[in-house]
Amino acid sequence: MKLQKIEQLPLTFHKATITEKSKIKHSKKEQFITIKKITSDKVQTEKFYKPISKIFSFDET
Amino acid sequence: MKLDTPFKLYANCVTVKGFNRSTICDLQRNDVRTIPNDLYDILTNHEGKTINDIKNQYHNEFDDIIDEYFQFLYDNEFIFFTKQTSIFPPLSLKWSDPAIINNSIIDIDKNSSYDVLKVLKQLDDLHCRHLEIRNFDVARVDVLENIFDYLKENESSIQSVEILLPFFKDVEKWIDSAKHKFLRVSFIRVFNCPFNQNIMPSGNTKAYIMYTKQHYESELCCGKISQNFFAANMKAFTESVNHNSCLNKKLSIDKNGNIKNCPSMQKGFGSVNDTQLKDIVTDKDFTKVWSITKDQILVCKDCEFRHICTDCRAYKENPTDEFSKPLKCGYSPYTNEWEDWSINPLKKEAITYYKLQADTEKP
Repeated sequence: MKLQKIEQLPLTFHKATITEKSKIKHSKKEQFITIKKITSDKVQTEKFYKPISKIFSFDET
Repeated sequence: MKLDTPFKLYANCVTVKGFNRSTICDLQRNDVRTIPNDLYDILTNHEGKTINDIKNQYHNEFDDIIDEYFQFLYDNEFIFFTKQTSIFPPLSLKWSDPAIINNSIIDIDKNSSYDVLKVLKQLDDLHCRHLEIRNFDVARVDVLENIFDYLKENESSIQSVEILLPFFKDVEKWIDSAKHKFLRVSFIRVFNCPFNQNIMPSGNTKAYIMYTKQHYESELCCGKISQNFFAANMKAFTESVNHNSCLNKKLSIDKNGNIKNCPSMQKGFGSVNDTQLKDIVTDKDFTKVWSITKDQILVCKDCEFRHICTDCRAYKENPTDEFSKPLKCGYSPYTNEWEDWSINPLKKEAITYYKLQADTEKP
């Protein structure tokens, strides 16, 4: 097998997408904070893990 | 980098091979990068070996390129080095969900007369958690308020509701006055607006509110394939490996009250007026599309994005082939380019077949 250098692959190594940019590198100091216990609302919304229909983009906000 | 210590991919970083190139998907960070197929082969065939061993395998002819590849992987935290490779098993790609139906689309137009609350109660029984309610021709405020009241008062299994409705006079006032009922509403999208505005959740409201000038006519607008819809997370990826990434565990009601896999699909399974949803979800004809994976779909099976992309079985390049490529996809894994699918002459026949005429139904 012959390997190609990165420069010879113009489309490679480009980010395809970042739907939510990682904050892991920048949030180490904040990893162990106490999560506030939510008492006001019994019901919480939880975003679905994929688009339900595909009219608008998933994360346009 | 450690040249003499075996490397491992982090288990949450999964590679997908495409025709020309591959992807590495970090399913914890929602991060996807394209990589050369050569690197895919190295990761697949030589994981657990040292970098120096791999260089030797290639008779030291490509040392600089291999260094470059591994520097990329290491810098981006896709790999780590360990002598105890056996204690890091691969991620299970199995997918499971306790719900019988986990997401649903309900379309309502000005003529819709079916009982939406009756549908919600039945969706509750099926443990449905995520709901999208779509109004295209007119905002059915009466129905939406009934739904809000139902969700506010009942211990429903529904966790999130997304609402799509057209602009009307005083829509902002209406949203403001109904905010206290939005406990489960995660997104409100108002189209045909004279302005564009995004409002983030604040105070007691958990909903994102989007006003857009964009125009949408009907369910024909759905089914777009775009990088904007990519979802590189554990649930979406593993679901795509095992099931259809759009229709699995989905049940929809079209504007006429017909039970369907998706409101855009032609085949219906009876009316909600005289059919119980629980009887439909055990119908093999209804659930057979749940198992159509991207690995079975023409062209998609060669695409490096196939397991982070959502599918569409409603609009296909070949309407008579259940394994045909989604019509509204402009990406080619053979050229790695995105093009406007709506002007592709090869799709003209299918566009006419589905009556996708209006500009708003295109990208």
